[in-house]
Amino acid sequence: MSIPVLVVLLYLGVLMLLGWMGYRCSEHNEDDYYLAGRSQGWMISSMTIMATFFSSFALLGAPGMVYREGVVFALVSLNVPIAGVCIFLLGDRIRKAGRVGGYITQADMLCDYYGGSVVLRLLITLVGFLFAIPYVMMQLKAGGELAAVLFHQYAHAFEAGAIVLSIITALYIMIGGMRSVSWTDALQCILLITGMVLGGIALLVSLGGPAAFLDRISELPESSLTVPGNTGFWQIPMLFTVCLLMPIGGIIQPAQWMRFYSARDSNTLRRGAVIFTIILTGCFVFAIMPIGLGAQVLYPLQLTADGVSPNAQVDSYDQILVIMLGDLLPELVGGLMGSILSSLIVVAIMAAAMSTADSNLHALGALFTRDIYGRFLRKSSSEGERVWVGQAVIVVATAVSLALVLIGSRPESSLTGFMEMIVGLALFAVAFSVQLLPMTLDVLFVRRGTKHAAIAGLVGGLVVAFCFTPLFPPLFSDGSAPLLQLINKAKTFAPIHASAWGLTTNMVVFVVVSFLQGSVSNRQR
Amino acid sequence: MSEPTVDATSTLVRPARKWLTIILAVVFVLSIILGAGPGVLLVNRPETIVGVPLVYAWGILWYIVQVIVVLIAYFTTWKQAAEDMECDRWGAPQTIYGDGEPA
Repeated sequence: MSIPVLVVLLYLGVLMLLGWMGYRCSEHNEDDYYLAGRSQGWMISSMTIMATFFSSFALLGAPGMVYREGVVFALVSLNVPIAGVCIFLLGDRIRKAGRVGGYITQADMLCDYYGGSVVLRLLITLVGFLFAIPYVMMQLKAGGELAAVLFHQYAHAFEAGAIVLSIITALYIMIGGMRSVSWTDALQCILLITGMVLGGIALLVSLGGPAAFLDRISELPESSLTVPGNTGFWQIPMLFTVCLLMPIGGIIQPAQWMRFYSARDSNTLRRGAVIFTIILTGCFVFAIMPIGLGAQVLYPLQLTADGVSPNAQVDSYDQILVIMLGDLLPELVGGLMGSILSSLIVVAIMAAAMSTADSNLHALGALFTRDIYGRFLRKSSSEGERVWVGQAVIVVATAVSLALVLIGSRPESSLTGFMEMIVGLALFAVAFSVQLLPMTLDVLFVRRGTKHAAIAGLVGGLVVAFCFTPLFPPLFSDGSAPLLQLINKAKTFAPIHASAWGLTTNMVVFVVVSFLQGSVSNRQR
Repeated sequence: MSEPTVDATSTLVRPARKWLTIILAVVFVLSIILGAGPGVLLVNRPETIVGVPLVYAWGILWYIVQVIVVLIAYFTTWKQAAEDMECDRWGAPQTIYGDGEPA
């Protein structure tokens, strides 16, 4: 058996062991299965929040995007401290509210405040699904991309990689719930950071040290060293709105929200916020982003009048890290050690993907059972039954995500363009999760909004955000449809991200409707 | 809720903390606008500084500023807020300071 296979098997074995240990320590009730008894300490909380936030986006998507666009995408690293600040400023209040109100999901808290509207609860749950499914798809795609490079000699390596990753992830969540998800996240977070640092070091050494690396970087094409990058996509408004809204969408998404509920106390999240800001941004700025730039040196892009395409040795931008380290590490440190280090990077990428997939699948289970099944389908269901249903949801959600990934991987599929890059999927997902921001801010800080304003704002925001995503144009057979033309004109007028279009609409509707209805007190609400 | 208590220390410390919070917030917002917003246009040239591409170095500069802001907040305003703040069932602060205003 080869070393990479052994290391991967060992890693998967440890995950299953942690899943089993989580099961042994659990108390088999909802609070414990979904929130680990609201008793997570700062170390585990910090790591699970970090691991959930940093997914295959960090280890495959970001280097891939820097490889394609150049330095401009490195500036996206500045979104991470925003997320760090939100962990304390929003997270701590959410945690406290969750403890007082006994909430498990986002909808529990928001609907409690706005008066328990069925429509609002369903909409919030829909947002959770709209975020979680693409995010899980992104992680399974990463598993496929990884396998496609490592086992390129096999015909269906992509499919096999995605399937294995989904099965293992679904299994250990089902076994142990939040406790095992958090424990595995902690392990995966360590692996993730190790992988980032190791990748950065390997690149620097292979290019002859920092000075030689910088010399080579300075020779890159002008478009790689400036804004808006090689394809022209990352214009300042796009860069700014992505940097500002992506971290907020990533922090108020269902899985992170539940991590705030599960934190033991304020200091847990305070420490988590500072660790998150310093370590993760540092890894991004000093390890992950240079990898993408180094890749441009080692595997020059093909820049033509028709556009940008990767080097002939690179099938997909998202594969660049795996390809590069696969080539560099064995050369740098010799056969055996090189193989072990390469395997560690592979495991780190798997960890990045699985740690986010598990959190989102686990959150989906909670969303469905708490917000739909237990509330509308079977009100008399027991806690044990709801936990069981949640596990079934995890299986179904994994299967749906996997099916979409496998369909999208076929060249003839209409999803191919949408799924071309991991970063694209991540941005699609946060365009929806960020639509909960007006409500969240209102409940936690402002308290002037109304239930109808929340519903109207959320509907408006979701619809508009969707219209500006890459999935909208394929719905039209006629490219000259008036609505499509209007949206294209709007994109040209203000090249901001779909999340910003949606959020602007959402905020305006929320404020106007609240104003028209007049602010109401909690008692009246 | 119990009657607010007048605490001499808190009435002195609170305005200072409020100002520090405002300053930190302003610096942080500026770092976002300058680091990843229109401020990038100030350095949008294919040049290097100490070998590092200028745009990249600009990003690193604002990352350092953001870390400093977060560290100061961690040791000052967040620490106090974490200790003081009790919330109701929707996350709004309940603790009343010496002057009777929420934290």
